[in-house]
Amino acid sequence: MNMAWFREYLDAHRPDGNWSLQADWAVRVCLQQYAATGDEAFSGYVIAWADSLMAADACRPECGKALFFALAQTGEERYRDAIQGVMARLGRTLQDAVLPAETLYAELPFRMAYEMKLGGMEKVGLCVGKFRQSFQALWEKESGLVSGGRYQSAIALVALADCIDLCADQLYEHWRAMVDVYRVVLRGLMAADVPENPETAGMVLTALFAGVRMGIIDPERYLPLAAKRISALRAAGAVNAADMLEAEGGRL
Amino acid sequence: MFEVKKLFTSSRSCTIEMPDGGLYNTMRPYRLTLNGEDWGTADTVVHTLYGLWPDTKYTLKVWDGNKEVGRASIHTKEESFTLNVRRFGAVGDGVHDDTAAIQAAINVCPKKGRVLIPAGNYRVLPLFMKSHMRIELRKGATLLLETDRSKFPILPGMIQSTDETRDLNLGSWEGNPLDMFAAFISGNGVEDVVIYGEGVLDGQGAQGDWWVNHRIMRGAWRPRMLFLNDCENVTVQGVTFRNSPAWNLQPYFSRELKFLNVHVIAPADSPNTDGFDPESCENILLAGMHFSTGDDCIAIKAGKLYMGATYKTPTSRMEVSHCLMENGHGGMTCGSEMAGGVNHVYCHDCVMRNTDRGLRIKTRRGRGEQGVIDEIVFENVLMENVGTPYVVNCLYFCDPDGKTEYVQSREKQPVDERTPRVGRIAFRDVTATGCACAGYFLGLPEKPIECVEMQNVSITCGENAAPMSPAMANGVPRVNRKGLVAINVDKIIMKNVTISGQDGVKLECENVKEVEE
Repeated sequence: MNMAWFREYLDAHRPDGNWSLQADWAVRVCLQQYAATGDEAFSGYVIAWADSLMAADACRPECGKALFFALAQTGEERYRDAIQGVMARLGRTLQDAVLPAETLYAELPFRMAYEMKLGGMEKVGLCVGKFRQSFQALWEKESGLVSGGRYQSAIALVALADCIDLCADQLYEHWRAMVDVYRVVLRGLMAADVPENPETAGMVLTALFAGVRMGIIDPERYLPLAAKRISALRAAGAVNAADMLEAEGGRL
Repeated sequence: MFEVKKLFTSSRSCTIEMPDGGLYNTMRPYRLTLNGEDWGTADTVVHTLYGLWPDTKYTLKVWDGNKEVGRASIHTKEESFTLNVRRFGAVGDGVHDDTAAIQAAINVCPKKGRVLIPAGNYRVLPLFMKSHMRIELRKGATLLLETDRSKFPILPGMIQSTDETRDLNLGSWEGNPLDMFAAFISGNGVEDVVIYGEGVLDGQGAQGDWWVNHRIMRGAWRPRMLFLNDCENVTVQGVTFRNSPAWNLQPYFSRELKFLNVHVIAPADSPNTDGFDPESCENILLAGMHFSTGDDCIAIKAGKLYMGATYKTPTSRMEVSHCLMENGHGGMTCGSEMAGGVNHVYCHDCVMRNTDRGLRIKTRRGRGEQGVIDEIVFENVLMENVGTPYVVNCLYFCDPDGKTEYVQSREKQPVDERTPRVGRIAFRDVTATGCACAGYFLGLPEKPIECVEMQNVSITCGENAAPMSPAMANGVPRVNRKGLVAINVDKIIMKNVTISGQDGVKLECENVKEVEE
């Protein structure tokens, strides 16, 4: 990947308190680049996002990655307070209703991070149970997709990948339950003969690479499928997204 | 006179049992002769003879002074070839890495062959067994396990099959299929193997970083001394395992196993150095074992939730006889990873000394309906300075959610697929001294312990026994000089039970349906 371009991208898209899918992707790549290189430009960008969200009073579960990272890096209580504020608004006990894919994507990774890092892992089972319950209700066997289509499947897959990554291995039964759902959703997405829009393709690739990185899917089977999607993204003009994803995939 | 029983005969060794009324040690030392030749003395009920010749008939006689008190006929097994590891390049000077030489000898060993490790100090990385072979560690031979974890192979917990329909489970840690460093000696799918001799396997737990921050997984989970995965007909005879990085001996989804006269030694403060942890295994004999460990001497397991619920394989039909268990947390434990169930365990003629607990059963809500513990029998057991000789704890507060309301509630919860069960537990002819608490039986209110049977049991609370919490569950206080406590039990049978030295009542009951005396 052309890292100079990515640095320019970060300069051009400074954190502004308005979380978006693009911000989510940029933060993901920064976290990976920081883990790989230790370059503080990347960690600084993520922490700047946490600061901007707090300044704008715009902390939401979706931006949990930035908040938890800022807390881990700095140890500053204000980040913990921000996280606690988000959890207080959510309510730690999950309601009995089936959650749509959008809510799974928005909430569950935050909840899982909270349980793992601050909550003593007590309610991990509830988070995982919610995945299973929602998946059973939303799964459409004929299409092999989550109700709503490919985009909904893709964001559910990203949420699953994030939660699997967070889950401690001593909670194997929970970890495995999510892995099993992840594999079914991924297979459905790979099998469905419908073109993906760039946003959905990006989501699928993000989750797919995470699965390879975590060792839960076979890279020989899935990385060639990822390469095809990146080519398709580039052909569709989504060059930046293709570059970012290629960078992620290139490390695997 | 007593009948000398043969427990196992290899091509070069034979383990006998001399039931003269002793538990671990015989009532007195005996002199042994083989075909009229002096063959040393024996002071343990289970004793192994070495230095025999293959395919040879012997007459063993046991002498008390000049009086013959027992005899047996022995016919050793055939042997095809001996592969001395020195011929394969092993040096045994404690400096060279002898892994490749010993592994080569193992790999090329023909059927019924013997890999011989003569006296010397052999530095090795993990070794892997193959089927139909014997390994002899001769007296004076010590295998020293390397301590640099970066050199250890990793056995992955799960590998998905190419067609994505099955899993290959190679590694395990505390009931879950997780990546682990390969054990000192590994067997994967092997059968008909004997490891025997008077040599030592030294895990060098204290020399590496295995015991430092031991709860943190670094690279993979810590290696065992012996890990048998899906093995059958394996016998370990006589060798000493010491200073394990983690659990010592772990048969896993294996069958037809014998462990005879094996010594398992680890410092009392070494972390998680359980002696023998069979997991989802059946038909196991432990005889004449000596355990002195930093954790449970024997811990019988059957997986945490996923493995128990998925493979539904209990640990079943296990006999423990004439063993000495010292210094561990528990003499014999069932659980807490028991989601596949544990049943038909018979522990008899054993000594437990200076352990926190004697028999300890640990389970909790959430272990699942496959998690049934049943037919656990202790007979003719002596416990000395054992804090609490009998503990059944169905509210064990392990795992991150172990202290949640669902797990710890003293109120009835729904009986469903998450609820474990404890069936019948029996203690006969058991003497326990120096106890802080005579016994603690804590069942689930919605699924009480079905039956606790105590016959000819004597328990003496120690004047100076240290106060302890008999069961690790919320609301269980530290106690001393305490009688039996039974909570949520269907039936207790107490016949000829003597409890002395306690303050207060001998038996304290709460929600016990029937006490038969």
